[in-house]
Amino acid sequence: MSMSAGELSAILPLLIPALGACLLPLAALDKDQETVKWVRGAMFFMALFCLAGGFFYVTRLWATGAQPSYGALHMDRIGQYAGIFVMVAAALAVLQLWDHLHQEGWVKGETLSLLLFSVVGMILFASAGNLILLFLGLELLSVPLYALTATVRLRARAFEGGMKYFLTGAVAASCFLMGSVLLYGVTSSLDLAVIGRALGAPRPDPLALAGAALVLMGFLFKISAVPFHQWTPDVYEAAPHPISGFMSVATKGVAVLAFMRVLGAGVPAPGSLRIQSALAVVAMATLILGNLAALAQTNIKRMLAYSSISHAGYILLGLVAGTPAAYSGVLFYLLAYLAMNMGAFGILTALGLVGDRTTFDQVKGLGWKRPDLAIAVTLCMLSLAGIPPLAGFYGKYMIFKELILQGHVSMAVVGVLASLVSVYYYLRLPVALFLEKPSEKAEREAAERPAIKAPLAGAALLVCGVLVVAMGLFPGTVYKVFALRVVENAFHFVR
Amino acid sequence: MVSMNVVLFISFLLFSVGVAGVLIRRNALVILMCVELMLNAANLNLVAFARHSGTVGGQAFALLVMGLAAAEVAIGLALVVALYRKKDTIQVDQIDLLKG
Amino acid sequence: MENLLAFIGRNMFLVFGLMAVGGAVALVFSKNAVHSVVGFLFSMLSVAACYLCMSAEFLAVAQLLVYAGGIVVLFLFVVMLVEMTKFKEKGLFQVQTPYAVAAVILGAVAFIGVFWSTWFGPSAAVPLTLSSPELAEGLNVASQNAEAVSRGLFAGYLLPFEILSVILLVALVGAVTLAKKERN
Repeated sequence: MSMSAGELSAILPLLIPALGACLLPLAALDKDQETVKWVRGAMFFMALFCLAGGFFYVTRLWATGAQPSYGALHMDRIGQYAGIFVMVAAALAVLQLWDHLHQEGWVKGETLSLLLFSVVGMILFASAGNLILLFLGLELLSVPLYALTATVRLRARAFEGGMKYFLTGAVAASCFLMGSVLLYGVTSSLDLAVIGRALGAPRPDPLALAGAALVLMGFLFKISAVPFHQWTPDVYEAAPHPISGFMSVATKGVAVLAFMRVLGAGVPAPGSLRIQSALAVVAMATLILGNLAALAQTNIKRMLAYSSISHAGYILLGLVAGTPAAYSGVLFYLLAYLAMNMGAFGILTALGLVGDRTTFDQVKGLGWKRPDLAIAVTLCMLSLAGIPPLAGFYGKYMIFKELILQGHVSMAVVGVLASLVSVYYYLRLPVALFLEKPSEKAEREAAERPAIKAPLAGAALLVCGVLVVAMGLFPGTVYKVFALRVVENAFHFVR
Repeated sequence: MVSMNVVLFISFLLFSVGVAGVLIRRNALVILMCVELMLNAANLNLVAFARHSGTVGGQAFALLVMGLAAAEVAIGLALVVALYRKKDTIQVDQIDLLKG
Repeated sequence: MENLLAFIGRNMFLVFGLMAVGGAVALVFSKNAVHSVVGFLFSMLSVAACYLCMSAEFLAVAQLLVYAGGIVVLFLFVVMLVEMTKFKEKGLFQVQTPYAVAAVILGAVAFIGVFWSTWFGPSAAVPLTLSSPELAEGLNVASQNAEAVSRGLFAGYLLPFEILSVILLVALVGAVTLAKKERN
């Protein structure tokens, strides 16, 4: 057996994190990791090193414009975009994990290993060109996440969240498999491009539509869109904070990318109008339900979970519009979402809110102690709400503009109204941080606890804040360098 | 000679029983077995479609799905055992700390 | 009697398939978890027989090894470990059972509608049939099935196969992380 250089370069973005993930459990075998700090440091360094290696390799591919493939694995612009996206999110999560796991007193190398495996699965999921790889990618990204949700075993809720995520996720994966099998049966091909063409036919086979519906269900579950969203708040609350952030950003992002790849082939044809209208209904329900439920939350993590549901709604609106400009708008939005949501979850670790102490009451007045972090998270929150000159605004703007150009004015109006509502709950965090006074009991408890040191999580949060501002100041550059190129080079079939 | 209708019908029945079991049972172990039933229903279809198309892809996929099922079971059973140690129950309706 | 036997002989798949469904129903509706596992085992063995009827011999053997040999034993092991008898199961079914059953039946009706229009409606452009063994390029011929599957796996689908091994490693690491006893 031999491989050409091109084939090797197609699988290297998967191999580099996988190598680290395979080596990390060996380092964790020893019980030194609980006592010796440099062993723990070495493990975290190794994880970051692998992520950085993968990141630089993919960015080099991106810069040269090469789009290698190995069999059905297409490391094209979509795959490379997914690689960059996921590895940045994972690196931010690893930085936060160092502080979070030390705060919880449960530092394990296996956690990092599972995180890296999940990264491999995500890149595979977004670059899969046939049903087998797509399903394997789905499993490889979710199986480590089931374990990661329950990884901090000291917390009573960890296993509960893990169990819920596992059961719902396994059922969704089974439905996804059944759907892809039906698609395979109708088209006699495992290739996504062939299947996309069959679905785009003027009168697709009903059995193919049933299969497409089941596959759609699997995707919507991973994107956490209504009505497949119930797991989201529970799982995000149970998981360690950085893992919740990573799940909300990376899982949703790659699910959208893989979905775009599947959908892309059939978009211009009239047959996919049915899928388009189904998406429109789901997007509307997601926007309305996510935003309304977020209003009522007292726990920051649950609020962020419902906020991530509502952002799934905005992203789906972009897919409903379905034009190249809308697709690149979605891709820009994902980058913005990466920065702002990792920042939003990052504040929990940076302020040292361990375990279940993640309610708004717990952060009252903390903004004055660390003004830099509080300002960074305020920027992230404003960006999530879509306030102008920040990154989130431009993402929403591009999507809404395309919706209106395509004649879906009412949907755009609902979207704008939803983001107006969201300003209320996003501003609750800055208000609690800066304007509200902590209760005496909370102050006494805070005085008893040792001072919080979270330098790496703080740095990650500041990076997110800077990214949000930078993308808001130079949206055109980011749009041209990343979002537009994916659509130009990878979606030949879009109108 | 096996007719395709029969295969699809049986596989669909298995899948429905699996879905129903997941929705109505409280015992996490039984739910896990029902998920396996759903995977097997998909596998039956895969083998039939592989014969229909005369390609080997479907059978290879079916074999991979079996391996995946084993991986899923390993994680699921580990979660069940861990949950049992922590909470003394494996009934999904009795784990209700997360709400809101 | 003769006719019945002849019918069964002609429809082995149907018989084994219905046995699989029967095992599945027993799984869902039995009170005792051990009985559920036995129902599951029965169902899996019947599915293996179904594979044989579709002349996928290699898969049938793999099904026996993986499910009957591995997964069912694991399930039994865990059932013994958690000692179902120690805690009383407070009712077998969830509170929302009627709604769930209604939803499943609704889905079933919708699917049968799809089924109906595919095979009996005008849209069935290319009817799905199981091609006869001779046409299938040696895939289904008994003596070559294992060879065909292995050629497919190790030539056409090598990357998925390797990825599966990674997923099994993930399951190993994950299971150890979750269920390992804490050192004190």
